[in-house]
Amino acid sequence: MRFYIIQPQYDEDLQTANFLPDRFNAADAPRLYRPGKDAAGNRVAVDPVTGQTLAAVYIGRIVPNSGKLLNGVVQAGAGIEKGLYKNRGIHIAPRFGFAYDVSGKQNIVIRGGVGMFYDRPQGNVVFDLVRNPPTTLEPTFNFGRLQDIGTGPLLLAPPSLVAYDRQGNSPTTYAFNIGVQYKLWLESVLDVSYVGTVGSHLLQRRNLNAPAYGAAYLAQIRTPRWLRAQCPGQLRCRWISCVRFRVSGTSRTSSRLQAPTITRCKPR
Amino acid sequence: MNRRFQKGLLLGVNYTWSKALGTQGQDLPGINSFGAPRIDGNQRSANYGPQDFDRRHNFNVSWVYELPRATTNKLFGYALNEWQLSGIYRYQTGAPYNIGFTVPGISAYTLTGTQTIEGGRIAVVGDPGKGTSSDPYRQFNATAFTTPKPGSLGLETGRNFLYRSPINSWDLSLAKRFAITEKAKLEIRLDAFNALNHTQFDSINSTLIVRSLTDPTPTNLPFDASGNLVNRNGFGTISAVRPPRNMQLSAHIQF
Repeated sequence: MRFYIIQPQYDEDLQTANFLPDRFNAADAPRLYRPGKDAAGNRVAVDPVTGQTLAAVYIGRIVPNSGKLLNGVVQAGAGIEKGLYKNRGIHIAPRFGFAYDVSGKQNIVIRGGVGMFYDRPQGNVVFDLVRNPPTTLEPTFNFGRLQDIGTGPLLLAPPSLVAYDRQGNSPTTYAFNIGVQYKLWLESVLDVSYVGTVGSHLLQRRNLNAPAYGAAYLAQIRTPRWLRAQCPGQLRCRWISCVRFRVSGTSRTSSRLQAPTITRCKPR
Repeated sequence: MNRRFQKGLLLGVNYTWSKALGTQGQDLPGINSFGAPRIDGNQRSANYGPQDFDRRHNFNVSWVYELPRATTNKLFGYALNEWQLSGIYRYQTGAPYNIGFTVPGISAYTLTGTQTIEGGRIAVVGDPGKGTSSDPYRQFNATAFTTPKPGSLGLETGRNFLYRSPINSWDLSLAKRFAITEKAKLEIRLDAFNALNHTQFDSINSTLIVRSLTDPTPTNLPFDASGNLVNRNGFGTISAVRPPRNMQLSAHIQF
Protein backbone atom coordinates (compact mmCIF):
# COMPACT_ATOMS: atom_id res chain seq x y z
CA MET A 1 0.00 0.00 0.00
CA ARG A 2 1.34 3.41 -0.93
CA PHE A 3 0.06 6.84 -0.10
CA TYR A 4 0.42 9.87 -2.36
CA ILE A 5 -0.04 13.52 -1.60
CA ILE A 6 -0.34 15.40 -4.86
CA GLN A 7 -0.52 18.99 -3.79
CA PRO A 8 -2.15 21.40 -6.28
CA GLN A 9 0.38 23.55 -8.07
CA TYR A 10 -0.12 27.26 -7.57
CA ASP A 11 1.37 30.65 -8.33
CA GLU A 12 2.98 32.15 -5.24
CA ASP A 13 1.87 35.64 -6.31
CA LEU A 14 -1.73 34.49 -6.84
CA GLN A 15 -1.87 35.94 -10.34
CA THR A 16 -3.69 32.95 -11.78
CA ALA A 17 -7.45 32.76 -12.25
CA ASN A 18 -9.86 30.00 -13.15
CA PHE A 19 -13.23 29.93 -14.85
CA LEU A 20 -15.89 28.04 -12.94
CA PRO A 21 -18.92 27.23 -15.09
CA ASP A 22 -21.23 27.03 -12.08
CA ARG A 23 -20.41 30.64 -11.17
CA PHE A 24 -21.15 31.99 -14.63
CA ASN A 25 -24.49 33.82 -14.85
CA ALA A 26 -25.69 34.54 -18.36
CA ALA A 27 -27.75 37.47 -17.05
CA ASP A 28 -24.56 39.22 -15.93
CA ALA A 29 -22.75 38.78 -19.23
CA PRO A 30 -21.57 42.05 -20.83
CA ARG A 31 -23.13 43.20 -24.07
CA LEU A 32 -21.24 43.01 -27.31
CA TYR A 33 -21.33 45.49 -30.15
CA ARG A 34 -23.26 43.88 -32.95
CA PRO A 35 -22.96 44.46 -36.68
CA GLY A 36 -25.37 47.00 -38.13
CA LYS A 37 -25.74 49.90 -40.53
CA ASP A 38 -25.89 53.60 -39.88
CA ALA A 39 -28.21 56.04 -41.58
CA ALA A 40 -25.81 56.37 -44.50
CA GLY A 41 -25.78 52.61 -45.03
CA ASN A 42 -22.26 52.11 -43.75
CA ARG A 43 -21.36 49.04 -41.76
CA VAL A 44 -20.93 49.97 -38.09
CA ALA A 45 -20.82 48.46 -34.61
CA VAL A 46 -24.07 48.94 -32.73
CA ASP A 47 -24.79 48.72 -29.00
CA PRO A 48 -28.00 46.63 -29.05
CA VAL A 49 -29.43 48.45 -26.01
CA THR A 50 -28.53 52.11 -26.45
CA GLY A 51 -28.15 52.11 -30.22
CA GLN A 52 -24.74 53.78 -29.92
CA THR A 53 -22.70 53.24 -33.04
CA LEU A 54 -18.95 52.93 -33.47
CA ALA A 55 -16.66 52.05 -36.34
CA ALA A 56 -17.12 48.57 -37.72
CA VAL A 57 -13.81 47.46 -36.29
CA TYR A 58 -15.44 47.39 -32.86
CA ILE A 59 -18.02 44.77 -33.83
CA GLY A 60 -17.78 41.98 -31.29
CA ARG A 61 -16.07 44.13 -28.64
CA ILE A 62 -17.49 44.48 -25.13
CA VAL A 63 -19.73 47.49 -24.42
CA PRO A 64 -18.07 49.32 -21.47
CA ASN A 65 -19.79 48.94 -18.09
CA SER A 66 -22.46 46.68 -19.56
CA GLY A 67 -22.00 43.65 -17.32
CA LYS A 68 -19.59 41.78 -15.12
CA LEU A 69 -16.27 41.38 -16.83
CA LEU A 70 -15.22 38.63 -14.45
CA ASN A 71 -18.42 36.68 -14.78
CA GLY A 72 -17.52 33.19 -13.61
CA VAL A 73 -13.83 34.04 -13.27
CA VAL A 74 -12.22 33.68 -9.86
CA GLN A 75 -8.71 34.64 -8.91
CA ALA A 76 -6.50 32.37 -6.86
CA GLY A 77 -7.04 32.83 -3.14
CA ALA A 78 -10.17 34.96 -3.63
CA GLY A 79 -12.78 32.55 -2.30
CA ILE A 80 -11.12 29.59 -3.94
CA GLU A 81 -8.05 27.50 -3.31
CA LYS A 82 -4.67 29.01 -4.17
CA GLY A 83 -4.17 26.20 -6.64
CA LEU A 84 -7.59 26.85 -8.23
CA TYR A 85 -8.56 23.22 -7.89
CA LYS A 86 -9.28 21.00 -4.95
CA ASN A 87 -6.61 19.27 -2.96
CA ARG A 88 -7.63 15.63 -3.12
CA GLY A 89 -5.74 14.83 0.05
CA ILE A 90 -4.12 11.46 0.52
CA HIS A 91 -4.36 9.17 -2.48
CA ILE A 92 -4.40 5.51 -1.56
CA ALA A 93 -2.57 3.29 -4.00
CA PRO A 94 -2.92 -0.40 -3.18
CA ARG A 95 -0.64 -2.85 -4.93
CA PHE A 96 -0.65 -6.60 -4.77
CA GLY A 97 1.62 -9.19 -6.26
CA PHE A 98 2.10 -12.89 -5.87
CA ALA A 99 4.08 -15.89 -7.05
CA TYR A 100 2.77 -19.42 -6.65
CA ASP A 101 4.72 -22.60 -7.22
CA VAL A 102 1.98 -24.90 -8.53
CA SER A 103 3.84 -28.18 -8.48
CA GLY A 104 6.03 -27.47 -5.51
CA LYS A 105 9.01 -28.41 -7.67
CA GLN A 106 9.38 -25.04 -9.37
CA ASN A 107 8.31 -26.52 -12.71
CA ILE A 108 5.25 -24.29 -13.08
CA VAL A 109 5.06 -20.93 -11.40
CA ILE A 110 2.22 -18.45 -11.69
CA ARG A 111 3.03 -14.81 -11.06
CA GLY A 112 0.70 -11.87 -11.06
CA GLY A 113 0.08 -8.42 -9.74
CA VAL A 114 -2.21 -5.44 -9.77
CA GLY A 115 -1.68 -1.88 -8.64
CA MET A 116 -2.84 1.70 -8.77
CA PHE A 117 -0.56 4.56 -9.79
CA TYR A 118 -1.18 8.31 -9.78
CA ASP A 119 0.39 10.97 -11.96
CA ARG A 120 0.93 14.59 -11.14
CA PRO A 121 -0.83 16.71 -13.83
CA GLN A 122 1.58 18.51 -16.09
CA GLY A 123 2.45 22.10 -15.19
CA ASN A 124 0.83 23.66 -18.24
CA VAL A 125 -2.60 23.24 -16.71
CA VAL A 126 -1.61 25.83 -14.14
CA PHE A 127 0.92 27.90 -16.08
CA ASP A 128 -1.70 28.87 -18.67
CA LEU A 129 -4.09 30.14 -16.00
CA VAL A 130 -1.89 33.20 -15.49
CA ARG A 131 -3.02 34.70 -18.77
CA ASN A 132 -6.66 34.83 -17.71
CA PRO A 133 -8.29 38.09 -16.58
CA PRO A 134 -8.05 40.00 -14.33
CA THR A 135 -4.26 39.60 -14.41
CA THR A 136 -4.13 39.77 -18.17
CA LEU A 137 -6.36 41.93 -20.34
CA GLU A 138 -5.64 42.65 -23.98
CA PRO A 139 -7.43 45.76 -25.22
CA THR A 140 -6.76 46.76 -28.82
CA PHE A 141 -6.13 50.38 -29.69
CA ASN A 142 -7.38 51.34 -33.14
CA PHE A 143 -7.05 54.45 -35.26
CA GLY A 144 -4.39 56.23 -33.20
CA ARG A 145 -0.78 56.78 -32.31
CA LEU A 146 1.18 55.80 -29.24
CA GLN A 147 0.89 59.27 -27.75
CA ASP A 148 -2.88 59.12 -28.18
CA ILE A 149 -3.41 56.01 -26.03
CA GLY A 150 -6.01 56.81 -23.43
CA THR A 151 -7.80 59.43 -25.47
CA GLY A 152 -9.86 57.17 -27.71
CA PRO A 153 -11.96 54.05 -27.29
CA LEU A 154 -9.96 51.20 -25.85
CA LEU A 155 -12.41 48.35 -25.95
CA LEU A 156 -11.90 44.81 -24.82
CA ALA A 157 -12.69 41.84 -26.97
CA PRO A 158 -14.17 38.73 -25.36
CA PRO A 159 -11.24 37.03 -23.64
CA SER A 160 -10.13 33.57 -24.53
CA LEU A 161 -10.05 31.76 -21.23
CA VAL A 162 -8.15 28.74 -20.11
CA ALA A 163 -9.80 26.85 -17.29
CA TYR A 164 -9.06 23.76 -15.26
CA ASP A 165 -11.55 21.36 -13.76
CA ARG A 166 -11.84 22.34 -10.10
CA GLN A 167 -12.44 18.74 -9.02
CA GLY A 168 -8.73 18.14 -9.53
CA ASN A 169 -8.85 14.38 -10.01
CA SER A 170 -5.38 13.00 -10.51
CA PRO A 171 -4.63 10.99 -13.64
CA THR A 172 -4.76 7.39 -12.52
CA THR A 173 -3.38 4.21 -14.00
CA TYR A 174 -4.39 0.70 -13.05
CA ALA A 175 -1.75 -1.83 -14.01
CA PHE A 176 -2.12 -5.56 -13.88
CA ASN A 177 -0.34 -8.65 -15.11
CA ILE A 178 -0.49 -12.37 -14.81
CA GLY A 179 1.92 -14.89 -16.23
CA VAL A 180 2.93 -18.50 -16.22
CA GLN A 181 6.50 -19.69 -16.29
CA TYR A 182 6.92 -23.30 -17.37
CA LYS A 183 10.20 -25.14 -17.11
CA LEU A 184 11.28 -26.68 -20.42
CA TRP A 185 14.11 -28.95 -21.39
CA LEU A 186 17.73 -27.76 -21.62
CA GLU A 187 17.27 -25.64 -18.52
CA SER A 188 15.00 -23.24 -20.38
CA VAL A 189 11.80 -21.56 -19.32
CA LEU A 190 8.71 -20.64 -21.31
CA ASP A 191 7.15 -17.43 -20.06
CA VAL A 192 3.67 -16.39 -21.21
CA SER A 193 2.36 -13.20 -19.64
CA TYR A 194 -0.61 -10.90 -20.01
CA VAL A 195 0.18 -7.32 -19.13
CA GLY A 196 -2.40 -4.55 -19.14
CA THR A 197 -3.00 -0.98 -18.08
CA VAL A 198 -6.17 1.09 -17.82
CA GLY A 199 -6.01 4.86 -17.43
CA SER A 200 -8.65 7.17 -16.07
CA HIS A 201 -8.90 10.89 -15.29
CA LEU A 202 -6.39 11.55 -18.04
CA LEU A 203 -6.05 15.18 -19.06
CA GLN A 204 -7.99 16.37 -22.04
CA ARG A 205 -8.89 19.75 -23.48
CA ARG A 206 -12.45 20.68 -24.36
CA ASN A 207 -13.99 23.87 -25.67
CA LEU A 208 -16.86 24.71 -23.33
CA ASN A 209 -18.15 27.47 -25.56
CA ALA A 210 -18.13 25.67 -28.89
CA PRO A 211 -21.37 25.92 -30.84
CA ALA A 212 -23.21 22.68 -31.42
CA TYR A 213 -22.72 20.67 -34.55
CA GLY A 214 -24.80 22.19 -37.32
CA ALA A 215 -25.10 25.56 -35.57
CA ALA A 216 -23.78 27.47 -38.57
CA TYR A 217 -26.62 26.10 -40.68
CA LEU A 218 -29.27 27.61 -38.42
CA ALA A 219 -30.81 30.66 -40.04
CA GLN A 220 -31.16 32.59 -36.79
CA ILE A 221 -27.44 32.79 -36.16
CA ARG A 222 -26.27 33.40 -39.68
CA THR A 223 -24.69 36.74 -40.33
CA PRO A 224 -25.82 38.52 -43.49
CA ARG A 225 -23.10 38.38 -46.11
CA TRP A 226 -22.56 42.16 -46.03
CA LEU A 227 -21.78 41.98 -42.28
CA ARG A 228 -19.79 38.79 -42.19
CA ALA A 229 -16.29 40.17 -42.64
CA GLN A 230 -15.87 41.61 -39.17
CA CYS A 231 -17.62 38.90 -37.23
CA PRO A 232 -16.51 35.57 -38.58
CA GLY A 233 -19.16 32.97 -38.17
CA GLN A 234 -21.05 35.04 -35.60
CA LEU A 235 -19.82 32.41 -33.20
CA ARG A 236 -17.24 34.67 -31.64
CA CYS A 237 -19.97 37.10 -30.70
CA ARG A 238 -20.43 35.67 -27.31
CA TRP A 239 -19.03 37.05 -24.16
CA ILE A 240 -16.35 34.41 -24.04
CA SER A 241 -14.80 33.51 -27.34
CA CYS A 242 -13.30 30.25 -26.27
CA VAL A 243 -12.88 28.38 -23.04
CA ARG A 244 -10.21 25.74 -23.19
CA PHE A 245 -11.43 23.66 -20.32
CA ARG A 246 -9.11 21.00 -19.04
CA VAL A 247 -10.73 18.09 -17.38
CA SER A 248 -9.45 14.75 -16.30
CA GLY A 249 -12.04 12.39 -17.61
CA THR A 250 -10.73 10.26 -20.44
CA SER A 251 -9.73 6.65 -20.34
CA ARG A 252 -7.15 4.58 -22.09
CA THR A 253 -6.50 0.90 -22.08
CA SER A 254 -3.53 -1.07 -23.16
CA SER A 255 -2.96 -4.75 -23.03
CA ARG A 256 -0.22 -7.00 -24.19
CA LEU A 257 0.22 -10.68 -24.45
CA GLN A 258 3.86 -11.49 -24.22
CA ALA A 259 4.49 -14.94 -25.51
CA PRO A 260 6.47 -16.94 -25.78
CA THR A 261 9.41 -15.75 -23.78
CA ILE A 262 11.76 -18.59 -23.09
CA THR A 263 14.48 -17.95 -20.59
CA ARG A 264 17.50 -20.16 -20.45
CA CYS A 265 18.63 -19.97 -16.90
CA LYS A 266 21.37 -22.53 -16.69
CA PRO A 267 24.29 -20.96 -14.87
CA ARG A 268 27.47 -20.49 -16.78
CA MET B 1 14.16 -16.74 -25.24
CA ASN B 2 17.22 -15.40 -23.55
CA ARG B 3 20.42 -17.38 -23.83
CA ARG B 4 23.20 -16.00 -21.74
CA PHE B 5 26.61 -15.78 -23.34
CA GLN B 6 27.73 -19.36 -23.48
CA LYS B 7 29.98 -21.24 -25.91
CA GLY B 8 30.40 -18.08 -27.92
CA LEU B 9 26.69 -17.37 -28.40
CA LEU B 10 24.34 -14.89 -26.79
CA LEU B 11 20.79 -15.06 -28.08
CA GLY B 12 17.53 -13.32 -27.26
CA VAL B 13 14.16 -13.89 -28.91
CA ASN B 14 10.88 -12.33 -27.88
CA TYR B 15 7.43 -11.75 -29.29
CA THR B 16 4.74 -9.45 -27.93
CA TRP B 17 1.17 -9.16 -29.14
CA SER B 18 -0.24 -5.87 -27.95
CA LYS B 19 -3.33 -3.78 -28.37
CA ALA B 20 -3.80 -0.23 -27.10
CA LEU B 21 -7.24 1.33 -27.29
CA GLY B 22 -8.58 4.62 -26.05
CA THR B 23 -10.21 7.91 -26.88
CA GLN B 24 -7.00 9.92 -26.93
CA GLY B 25 -3.41 9.05 -27.46
CA GLN B 26 -1.55 11.90 -25.83
CA ASP B 27 -1.50 13.99 -22.72
CA LEU B 28 -3.64 17.12 -23.12
CA PRO B 29 -4.40 16.96 -26.85
CA GLY B 30 -5.43 20.10 -28.72
CA ILE B 31 -9.06 21.11 -29.06
CA ASN B 32 -8.93 21.32 -32.85
CA SER B 33 -6.91 18.24 -33.67
CA PHE B 34 -8.16 14.94 -35.03
CA GLY B 35 -9.76 13.01 -32.19
CA ALA B 36 -10.23 16.08 -30.03
CA PRO B 37 -12.78 15.68 -27.25
CA ARG B 38 -16.24 16.24 -28.63
CA ILE B 39 -18.93 18.50 -27.26
CA ASP B 40 -21.76 16.04 -27.77
CA GLY B 41 -22.42 12.53 -26.51
CA ASN B 42 -20.53 10.82 -29.33
CA GLN B 43 -17.07 10.98 -27.81
CA ARG B 44 -16.70 7.23 -27.44
CA SER B 45 -18.26 6.20 -30.74
CA ALA B 46 -16.17 8.74 -32.62
CA ASN B 47 -12.82 8.45 -30.92
CA TYR B 48 -12.51 5.09 -29.20
CA GLY B 49 -10.08 3.09 -31.28
CA PRO B 50 -6.44 2.08 -31.68
CA GLN B 51 -4.05 4.50 -30.07
CA ASP B 52 -1.38 6.27 -32.09
CA PHE B 53 1.20 4.10 -30.37
CA ASP B 54 -0.62 0.83 -30.94
CA ARG B 55 1.78 -1.78 -32.37
CA ARG B 56 0.03 -5.11 -32.75
CA HIS B 57 2.95 -7.47 -33.39
CA ASN B 58 6.47 -7.11 -32.10
CA PHE B 59 9.15 -9.69 -32.82
CA ASN B 60 12.80 -9.22 -31.99
CA VAL B 61 15.88 -11.38 -32.27
CA SER B 62 19.28 -10.28 -31.04
CA TRP B 63 22.51 -12.21 -30.98
CA VAL B 64 26.23 -12.00 -30.45
CA TYR B 65 28.36 -14.78 -31.90
CA GLU B 66 32.07 -15.07 -31.42
CA LEU B 67 33.64 -17.08 -34.19
CA PRO B 68 35.58 -20.11 -32.98
CA ARG B 69 39.28 -19.76 -32.54
CA ALA B 70 40.69 -20.44 -36.02
CA THR B 71 44.29 -21.14 -35.19
CA THR B 72 46.70 -21.41 -32.30
CA ASN B 73 49.49 -19.83 -34.29
CA LYS B 74 50.17 -16.46 -32.75
CA LEU B 75 51.00 -14.71 -36.01
CA PHE B 76 48.03 -16.02 -38.00
CA GLY B 77 45.82 -15.79 -34.95
CA TYR B 78 46.38 -12.06 -34.87
CA ALA B 79 44.39 -11.92 -38.10
CA LEU B 80 42.10 -14.92 -37.89
CA ASN B 81 41.03 -15.11 -34.23
CA GLU B 82 38.67 -12.96 -32.14
CA TRP B 83 36.11 -12.07 -34.77
CA GLN B 84 32.59 -11.34 -33.62
CA LEU B 85 29.27 -11.19 -35.49
CA SER B 86 26.25 -9.62 -33.90
CA GLY B 87 22.91 -8.28 -34.98
CA ILE B 88 19.33 -7.39 -34.30
CA TYR B 89 16.32 -8.39 -36.34
CA ARG B 90 13.16 -6.42 -35.73
CA TYR B 91 9.62 -6.81 -37.03
CA GLN B 92 6.97 -4.43 -35.78
CA THR B 93 3.51 -3.61 -37.06
CA GLY B 94 3.30 -0.09 -38.48
CA ALA B 95 1.62 2.82 -36.76
CA PRO B 96 -2.12 3.34 -37.29
CA TYR B 97 -3.22 6.40 -39.23
CA ASN B 98 -6.22 8.35 -40.43
CA ILE B 99 -7.37 9.60 -43.80
CA GLY B 100 -7.86 13.33 -44.29
CA PHE B 101 -9.46 15.36 -47.04
CA THR B 102 -9.37 18.77 -48.65
CA VAL B 103 -12.28 20.51 -50.31
CA PRO B 104 -10.98 23.74 -51.91
CA GLY B 105 -12.31 26.75 -50.02
CA ILE B 106 -14.18 24.67 -47.46
CA SER B 107 -12.90 23.80 -44.01
CA ALA B 108 -13.79 20.63 -42.16
CA TYR B 109 -15.48 22.87 -39.58
CA THR B 110 -17.67 24.46 -42.20
CA LEU B 111 -19.05 21.04 -43.06
CA THR B 112 -20.08 20.40 -39.47
CA GLY B 113 -21.37 23.91 -38.93
CA THR B 114 -19.35 24.46 -35.81
CA GLN B 115 -16.01 25.98 -34.90
CA THR B 116 -12.80 25.19 -33.03
CA ILE B 117 -13.60 21.53 -32.62
CA GLU B 118 -12.95 18.68 -34.96
CA GLY B 119 -14.80 18.79 -38.25
CA GLY B 120 -16.19 16.21 -40.64
CA ARG B 121 -14.31 13.01 -41.36
CA ILE B 122 -13.59 11.13 -44.53
CA ALA B 123 -16.38 8.80 -45.63
CA VAL B 124 -15.78 5.22 -46.75
CA VAL B 125 -17.66 4.03 -49.84
CA GLY B 126 -15.74 0.82 -50.53
CA ASP B 127 -13.14 -1.54 -49.11
CA PRO B 128 -10.07 0.56 -48.36
CA GLY B 129 -7.84 -2.41 -47.55
CA LYS B 130 -5.50 -2.63 -44.59
CA GLY B 131 -3.65 0.59 -45.28
CA THR B 132 -0.42 -0.92 -46.53
CA SER B 133 0.85 -3.03 -49.40
CA SER B 134 4.07 -3.79 -51.25
CA ASP B 135 3.07 -1.38 -54.03
CA PRO B 136 4.34 2.12 -53.13
CA TYR B 137 1.56 3.68 -55.21
CA ARG B 138 -1.34 1.65 -53.81
CA GLN B 139 -1.07 1.59 -50.04
CA PHE B 140 -4.83 1.43 -49.91
CA ASN B 141 -7.76 1.53 -52.30
CA ALA B 142 -7.81 5.23 -53.12
CA THR B 143 -11.24 5.03 -54.71
CA ALA B 144 -12.84 3.78 -51.51
CA PHE B 145 -13.17 7.25 -49.98
CA THR B 146 -15.17 10.40 -50.48
CA THR B 147 -15.59 13.64 -48.61
CA PRO B 148 -18.25 14.20 -45.94
CA LYS B 149 -21.37 16.13 -46.77
CA PRO B 150 -22.45 19.48 -45.28
CA GLY B 151 -24.18 18.87 -41.98
CA SER B 152 -21.71 16.13 -41.08
CA LEU B 153 -21.42 15.20 -37.42
CA GLY B 154 -17.87 13.96 -37.89
CA LEU B 155 -18.90 10.34 -37.41
CA GLU B 156 -18.24 9.00 -40.90
CA THR B 157 -15.22 6.97 -39.81
CA GLY B 158 -13.48 6.05 -36.59
CA ARG B 159 -9.99 6.82 -35.45
CA ASN B 160 -6.85 5.07 -36.69
CA PHE B 161 -8.55 2.44 -38.84
CA LEU B 162 -5.60 1.86 -41.20
CA TYR B 163 -2.04 0.74 -40.47
CA ARG B 164 1.23 1.77 -42.07
CA SER B 165 3.84 -0.66 -43.35
CA PRO B 166 5.67 -2.64 -40.71
CA ILE B 167 9.27 -2.21 -39.71
CA ASN B 168 11.22 -5.20 -41.03
CA SER B 169 14.86 -4.50 -40.44
CA TRP B 170 18.24 -6.14 -39.88
CA ASP B 171 21.10 -4.44 -38.07
CA LEU B 172 24.41 -6.30 -38.34
CA SER B 173 27.84 -5.77 -36.87
CA LEU B 174 31.25 -7.24 -37.51
CA ALA B 175 34.01 -6.69 -34.97
CA LYS B 176 37.65 -7.73 -34.68
CA ARG B 177 39.73 -7.50 -31.54
CA PHE B 178 43.49 -7.07 -31.47
CA ALA B 179 45.48 -7.69 -28.34
CA ILE B 180 47.72 -4.74 -27.48
CA THR B 181 48.90 -5.85 -24.10
CA GLU B 182 47.81 -8.59 -21.78
CA LYS B 183 44.85 -6.48 -20.58
CA ALA B 184 44.34 -3.90 -23.31
CA LYS B 185 42.61 -4.66 -26.58
CA LEU B 186 41.78 -2.67 -29.66
CA GLU B 187 38.40 -3.36 -31.22
CA ILE B 188 37.64 -2.36 -34.80
CA ARG B 189 33.93 -2.47 -35.42
CA LEU B 190 31.76 -2.10 -38.51
CA ASP B 191 28.05 -1.54 -37.86
CA ALA B 192 25.40 -1.59 -40.58
CA PHE B 193 21.91 -0.39 -39.72
CA ASN B 194 19.26 -1.68 -42.11
CA ALA B 195 22.10 -3.81 -43.39
CA LEU B 196 20.13 -5.34 -46.24
CA ASN B 197 19.11 -1.87 -47.42
CA HIS B 198 15.54 -3.07 -47.36
CA THR B 199 13.20 -0.24 -48.33
CA GLN B 200 11.05 0.57 -45.34
CA PHE B 201 7.85 2.39 -46.27
CA ASP B 202 6.86 5.01 -43.73
CA SER B 203 4.59 8.02 -44.34
CA ILE B 204 1.69 7.93 -46.78
CA ASN B 205 -0.05 10.65 -48.78
CA SER B 206 -3.31 10.19 -46.94
CA THR B 207 -5.21 13.36 -47.84
CA LEU B 208 -7.91 13.10 -50.48
CA ILE B 209 -8.39 16.25 -52.54
CA VAL B 210 -11.64 16.71 -54.44
CA ARG B 211 -12.73 19.19 -57.07
CA SER B 212 -15.37 21.03 -55.05
CA LEU B 213 -18.07 20.60 -52.47
CA THR B 214 -20.69 19.89 -55.12
CA ASP B 215 -18.37 17.80 -57.29
CA PRO B 216 -16.44 15.40 -55.02
CA THR B 217 -14.40 13.98 -57.89
CA PRO B 218 -10.89 13.22 -56.59
CA THR B 219 -8.16 15.30 -58.18
CA ASN B 220 -5.11 13.60 -56.69
CA LEU B 221 -5.56 9.94 -57.51
CA PRO B 222 -2.28 8.30 -58.53
CA PHE B 223 -3.80 6.38 -61.46
CA ASP B 224 -6.04 7.47 -64.30
CA ALA B 225 -9.10 5.58 -65.50
CA SER B 226 -6.89 3.37 -67.69
CA GLY B 227 -4.71 2.36 -64.79
CA ASN B 228 -1.71 4.47 -65.81
CA LEU B 229 0.38 6.00 -63.06
CA VAL B 230 -0.08 9.74 -63.52
CA ASN B 231 0.69 11.13 -60.07
CA ARG B 232 3.55 9.64 -58.06
CA ASN B 233 2.58 11.77 -55.08
CA GLY B 234 -1.09 11.00 -55.32
CA PHE B 235 -3.55 9.85 -52.71
CA GLY B 236 -2.46 6.54 -51.21
CA THR B 237 1.18 6.68 -52.33
CA ILE B 238 4.27 6.51 -50.15
CA SER B 239 5.59 9.96 -49.24
CA ALA B 240 8.60 8.95 -47.15
CA VAL B 241 10.65 5.89 -46.30
CA ARG B 242 12.69 5.05 -43.26
CA PRO B 243 16.48 5.42 -43.41
CA PRO B 244 18.40 3.31 -45.92
CA ARG B 245 21.50 1.37 -44.97
CA ASN B 246 23.73 3.38 -42.63
CA MET B 247 27.21 2.17 -41.83
CA GLN B 248 29.68 3.28 -39.23
CA LEU B 249 33.25 2.24 -38.59
CA SER B 250 34.59 2.68 -35.09
CA ALA B 251 37.61 1.81 -32.98
CA HIS B 252 37.51 1.13 -29.26
CA ILE B 253 40.31 0.55 -26.83
CA GLN B 254 39.33 -1.74 -23.99
CA PHE B 255 41.45 -1.90 -20.89
